[in-house]
Amino acid sequence: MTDKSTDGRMSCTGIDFYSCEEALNRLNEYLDHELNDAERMVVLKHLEICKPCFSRFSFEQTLVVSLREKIVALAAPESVRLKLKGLLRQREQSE
Amino acid sequence: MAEAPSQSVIEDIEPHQPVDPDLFESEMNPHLDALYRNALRLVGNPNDAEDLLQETYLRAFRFFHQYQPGTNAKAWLFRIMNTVFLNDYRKKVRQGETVSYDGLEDFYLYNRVVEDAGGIDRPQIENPQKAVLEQLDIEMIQRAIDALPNEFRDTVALATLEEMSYQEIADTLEIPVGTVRSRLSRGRKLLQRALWAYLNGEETRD
Repeated sequence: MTDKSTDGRMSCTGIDFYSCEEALNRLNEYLDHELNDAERMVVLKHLEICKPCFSRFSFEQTLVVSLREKIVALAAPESVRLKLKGLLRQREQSE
Repeated sequence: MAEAPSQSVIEDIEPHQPVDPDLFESEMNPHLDALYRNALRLVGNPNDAEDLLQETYLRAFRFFHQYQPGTNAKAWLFRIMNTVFLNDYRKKVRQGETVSYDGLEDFYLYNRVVEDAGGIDRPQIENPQKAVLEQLDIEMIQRAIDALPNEFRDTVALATLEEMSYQEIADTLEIPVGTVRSRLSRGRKLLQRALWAYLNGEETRD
């Protein structure tokens, strides 16, 4: 049996680094850059020694980045920008 | 006191000091695309989204004297948009789809991809992951976000797509930071489940 049936709660615990569960509890904050430097270091240490978590965290990170990259293409249409620009000036003149 | 038709949306607000449109634009326009996407998520179609964006933008201009330079312009704009939306579009508030929270696991999408690739006993899983991510398109992402229940949709979208900090999200939605955390935790799993369903050509709606 290999690592593949686990759900992130494998028991590779240590003193200077988190267990899988402790790392998992910080997944979102890790992805969103909400951890302070010290906490981030401990998560990174865990990922160095725990290959399954490394794969999972990498996937999560790539997922967030690729969702973000794709959605950026959805921008305010140029026609709307021009209209808004005009409306501000129109207001100015009417006062 | 004749108001131009385009001003009707803000005529109920007190007079303000004249604002330099150039200054306003330099502060606010960097957030226009994010604001437009937020409008799309709130109302669900481009026409209404443009209207909501316009009303929000004009109201922000009108209230610009209340904006503190150097504070978070994005959160400020999003808050105005939420207010306009709740006032003017209340009847159109979208409920999202009815979702089940059963079987919500950590690393949902990753696990499905690995299972899929593991069918032929293949330890190398780098490529299947990449392939899955490449299949995701804007429409799929939008649908998956739309399918989230309201309270999760905003938080997940702002953190994941608009890269807002938890504090910015808390300020925008006027909720505690702890609530941002818990909604993200559950909401991202729901998002992954919806993405997986769409990737496989399924509908999450039963």
